[in-house]
Amino acid sequence: MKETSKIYVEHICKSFGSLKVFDDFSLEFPEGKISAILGPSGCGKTSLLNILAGLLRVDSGRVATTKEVSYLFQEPRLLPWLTIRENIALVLQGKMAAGEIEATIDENLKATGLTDFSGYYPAQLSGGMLQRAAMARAFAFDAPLLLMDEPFKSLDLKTRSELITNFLQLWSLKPRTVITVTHDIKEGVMLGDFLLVLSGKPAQVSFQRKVTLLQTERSNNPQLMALEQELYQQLLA
Amino acid sequence: MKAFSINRNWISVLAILLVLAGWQLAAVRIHLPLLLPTPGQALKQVLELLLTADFWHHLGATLGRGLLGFGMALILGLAIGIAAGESKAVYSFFRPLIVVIRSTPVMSVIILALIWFRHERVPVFVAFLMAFPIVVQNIIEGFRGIDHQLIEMVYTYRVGYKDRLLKLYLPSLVPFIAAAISSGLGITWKVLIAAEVLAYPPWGIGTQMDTARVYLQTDKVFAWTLVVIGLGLFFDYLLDYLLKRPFRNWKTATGDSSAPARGHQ
Repeated sequence: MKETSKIYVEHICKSFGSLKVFDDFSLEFPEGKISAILGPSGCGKTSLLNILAGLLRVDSGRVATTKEVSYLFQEPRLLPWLTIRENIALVLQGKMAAGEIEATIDENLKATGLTDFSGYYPAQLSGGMLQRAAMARAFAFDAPLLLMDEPFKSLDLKTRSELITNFLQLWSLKPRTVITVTHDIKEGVMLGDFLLVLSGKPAQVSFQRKVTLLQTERSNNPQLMALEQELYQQLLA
Repeated sequence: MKAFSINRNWISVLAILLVLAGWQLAAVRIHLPLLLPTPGQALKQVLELLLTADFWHHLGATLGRGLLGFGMALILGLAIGIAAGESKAVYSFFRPLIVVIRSTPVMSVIILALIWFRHERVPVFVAFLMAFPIVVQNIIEGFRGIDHQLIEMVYTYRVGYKDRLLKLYLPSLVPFIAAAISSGLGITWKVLIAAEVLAYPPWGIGTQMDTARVYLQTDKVFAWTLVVIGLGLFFDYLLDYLLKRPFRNWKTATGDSSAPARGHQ
């Protein structure tokens, strides 16, 4: 695995037993932008994220990713015996000075609206707040790459839209390369500068499109509605 | 629920009373204190022992050996158990060794230890060797149960080994460490006394039991046995008490009753 600021996979192959997930698969992700990956379940979306996170090894091929990676999982993945503050501190420990850790935590708790809940344990918070805490952790960790695996999936509509707005605020404050996996076409179009549809197995890119509009100008744009329709057809195909 | 737990306590008391009644009946029937003293005679002997200075010396010696042997087993077992949980290679290396130790008869270990070590050290070594596989087994089992998603999270965020150990592994392993201590200490007292009987160190409960046997002081054998049972119960309750504390914060505080609970709570 190569550590660069450029993020790509080149001619990668990966099998789970007899199941070939990637067979000579290549893809490059634009730097500093949000790439949104859509596709049916089991087409290798999460495996691709795990490969870029260094959690999964490829059988062959080249993987170029950053040394530090933030990962916003589908679940909050907070340690139940640590408070929200301690959970964030856990990923910062040893990477910055103690004073800086406290300041970073405060800043990110404030940005996610969790300042008053810093001393709470995960079991005391709602699903939306837990995912906010996970987001605060992901942004507090100063990595040039943020991977997101359907982090808004299990939330109700209102909470989901609040969290997406919150995510975009955080991202505009601390821009970084984001690769997000989603099943939700609207969410993909709302977030992605680079949209792609994967189909499997083995995985291949069946559709890709760049979106140049700023995320803040995307709601109710007729062009994007057409794009949503196009993606819908792609995913049904 | 409360009424049920009161009933359950009474059932436990009833069981103990039944055993005592059976013992008393048998002793009265046999009518040979040399073979089987009554519970009262054994208890009287315990009280008499408690008043002697030597009793505390013997108890202290046995206790010290047990805690030393088991303490070493716990520390080494934790270290190896966690290493084996993290690495399949370490697991493959230690697995056959642990199976061998677990299958070795206690008597073989005691006899070999008698050949190899000074008398005072034999019980310590035996306690260590018998408790060690129990601890390792429990920790490996517990490590498998650690939430895989949390392990992925700490690896992705490059959390250092010390934090992984102190903030993820050890807290996740608490119920299994408790089980390891509970069953490990249980076996420790048993093999320790056996080893003391054979190694005959100057101070120790096992030595006292064997001396009592030689002088046909059966009531004393029973008295020392009761002392050892008391020792086991004391540590069992102590462990229960200590373990109720760490979970108060993060689980029971939120009304979640699924906090790991041991045995008879």
